[in-house]
Amino acid sequence: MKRWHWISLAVVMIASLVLERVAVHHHSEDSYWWVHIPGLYGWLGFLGCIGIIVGSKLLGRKWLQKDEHYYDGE
Amino acid sequence: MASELILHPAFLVLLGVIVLPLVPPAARGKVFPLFPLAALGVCWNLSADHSFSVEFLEYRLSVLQVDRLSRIFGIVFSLIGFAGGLFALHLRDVRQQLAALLYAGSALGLVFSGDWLTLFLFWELTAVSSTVLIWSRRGTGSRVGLRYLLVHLFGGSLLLAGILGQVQTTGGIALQLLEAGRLSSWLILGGIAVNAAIPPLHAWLSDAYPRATVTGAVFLSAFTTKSAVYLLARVAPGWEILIALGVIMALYGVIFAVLANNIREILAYHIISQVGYMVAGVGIGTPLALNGAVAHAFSHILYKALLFMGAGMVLHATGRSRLTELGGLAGKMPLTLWLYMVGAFSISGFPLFNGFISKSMVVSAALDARYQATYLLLVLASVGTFLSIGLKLPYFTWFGRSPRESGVSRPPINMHLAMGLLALLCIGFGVFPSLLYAELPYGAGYRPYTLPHLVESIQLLAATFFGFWWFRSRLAGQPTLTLDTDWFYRRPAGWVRRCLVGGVSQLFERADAGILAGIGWLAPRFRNPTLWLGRRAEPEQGPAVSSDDPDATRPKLEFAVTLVLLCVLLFTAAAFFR
Repeated sequence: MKRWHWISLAVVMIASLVLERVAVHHHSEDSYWWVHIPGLYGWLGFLGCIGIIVGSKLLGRKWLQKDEHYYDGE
Repeated sequence: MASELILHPAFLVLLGVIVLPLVPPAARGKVFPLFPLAALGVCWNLSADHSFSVEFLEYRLSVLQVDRLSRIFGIVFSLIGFAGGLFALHLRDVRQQLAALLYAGSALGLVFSGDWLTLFLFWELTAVSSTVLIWSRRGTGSRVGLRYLLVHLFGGSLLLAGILGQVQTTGGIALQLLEAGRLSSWLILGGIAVNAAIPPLHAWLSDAYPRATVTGAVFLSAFTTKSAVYLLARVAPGWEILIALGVIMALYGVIFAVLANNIREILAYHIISQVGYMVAGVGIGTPLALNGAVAHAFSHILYKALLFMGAGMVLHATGRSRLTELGGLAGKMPLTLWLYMVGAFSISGFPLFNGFISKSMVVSAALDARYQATYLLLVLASVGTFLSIGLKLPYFTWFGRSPRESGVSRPPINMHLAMGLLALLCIGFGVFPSLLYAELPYGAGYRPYTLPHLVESIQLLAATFFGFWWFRSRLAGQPTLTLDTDWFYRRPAGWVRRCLVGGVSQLFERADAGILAGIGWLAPRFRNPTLWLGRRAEPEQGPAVSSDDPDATRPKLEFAVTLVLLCVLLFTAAAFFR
C-alpha cells in the first residue's frame, strides 16, 4: 500500500463519518436505538472483520483444520 | 405442438445435445453458445402468461408455464449459458460440452415447469448432467463426483417422496404453495434444501465445485443452487424457518471461507453464504424481500460466474489453485485480476456494482419487516464476504509473494471476452438498477442509491479493509483441510465399506473355500467309491502308477451287495406274506 492509498482511504472514511453526522438523519419514530450509534457501520466493519478472523481461526485451530491427507484412507 | 416445443427455451438448448455431436469437432465450441443465445432470445420475448402442456398418461404436464418469476430466471440462465459457452469456446471435449448443454437445458426446463412431475424430471437431469461436469476432471473427480451424485440422489428421493405425498393429498400435480402442516411439504423442502446447500446438507457444494473442470465450475456455480432458490420462492415464500436457515448459511460460508486454502473452495463457500441472503429473503416473504431474493439470484449468477472464471483462469494458467502455492500473479495476469476484481466488488456490495443493488434489497427488507438480528447478522456476513473474496483471495493470489517461480501460460482470448461480458453486465446493472428492477416479479419499489445507504456501505467496506490489513498475516493460506458436515458420510465410509462390503466379501470367500474343500473331499470318493469304506484317498499329485488292486476290495463289496439284496428280499417276503 502506497502512502496516497492510505490518505485516500482516510479521506473517504472521514467524509462518510462527517456526512453521517451532518446529512443522515434517522427521524423515523420506530427506528431502533442502535441506528443512532455514531459510525455504527464503521464499527461493524472493523470489529466484525476482526471477530470473523479471530473466531474462524480459533474454530479451525481447535477443531476443524486437519492434515490435507485426512481423508486419504477412505 | 412441434412449433410450441421448438419455442421452449429448454428444448432449444436440449436440441444442442442432439445437434452438437453431428457438428465437426473443430466447430463445436463455436456452435455451443448459439443454443443458449437462441434460448435467451426466446425467453426475452416470452409473454408472462404463456403456457404449453402435453398429455401424459392421465396427467396434463405443464411443460412451459411462464410468469415474471420464471421468466427472469430463464433470462439469467440462458445468459449465463451463453457466457459459459463463450468461456469454453476453445474446449475440445464433447462430453463436457454436452453435459453443460444438458445441464443448462434442464435448469431452464425446471424453472418453466408448471407441475411437479415435469419439474422432478428436470431436477434429476440437472443432478446427472452436473455430475458429468465433475467427473470430467481427471484425478480426484471420479470419487468426488460419486459423492456428489449420491447426495443429489438422496435429495431427489426426498423431493419425489414429498411430491407423491403432495399429489395424493391434493389430487393434482400442479405446482402450488406448500402447506406447513403436511409431511409431504417438509419432504419437498428437504429435497430443495439439498440443492440450495442449506447446512447441514450443503457439504456436496464445497466438496465438488472446487474439483470440477475449469469451465464446468462456471456452469455449476449458476444453476443448481439458484434453481432451488427459484423453487423456494415459488412454493415456500414466507416460511419463517427459512430466515434462520438463510442467516446460518450467510455466516457459515463466511467462516469456512476464512479457513479455506483453495481459491475455488473460497468461492464455493461464498455461494453458500450468498444463497443464504436469498433463502432469508424468501423466508421474510414481503414483496421487497422476494424481489430482493430474485434480484440477488440474478446478480449472484453473473458475478459468481465471473469469479469462477477468474479463479479458473488462474488454474488454467498456473495449474495451481491453493493459496499456499500462489502469489505474485498481478504482473503476469493483470487483465484477469481486474476482471476478477469487478466480480469481487460486486459480491462485496460496492456502490455502482450489481451486488449493491440486490443484496441491499434483502437486508433492507429484513429491517423493514422488523427482523433486527437478521439485519445485523446479514450485514456482518457481508463484511466476511468482502474480507474473503475482495481482500484475502486477491491479496494472496495476485499480490502476495509467490512461493515458487513458474511460468504462466497464456489463456485463450475467448476466456477474457466472457469475463469482460460478465464484468460489463455487473457494472451495467449496478449503474442502471432500473434495468433489473423493471423485470422483477413482485410489485415493490426500491431505491438503492440513497445517501444513508451509500454512507453505510462506504464505512462498512473501508473499516473492513482496515481490519484486514491489520490481521492479514493471519489470513495467509495454510496447507490444511477443513472438516465439514461431509465428515459424517466420508469418515464412516471406510467403516461401512468394511462392514457391508468387506464383511460380505469375507463371508463369500469363506463359503467359497468351504465349498472347494468339500468338493476336494467328495471328488476322489465318487471317483473311487471304495474310499467310502474307509480306505485313505491317494494324494492328487501321487505317483504316476496307481497301486489300486480291484481284487483286494472285491470280497467286501460282494458282502455289502449281498447284504443289501438279502434285506430287500426279506422285506419283500414280509410284505408278501403278511
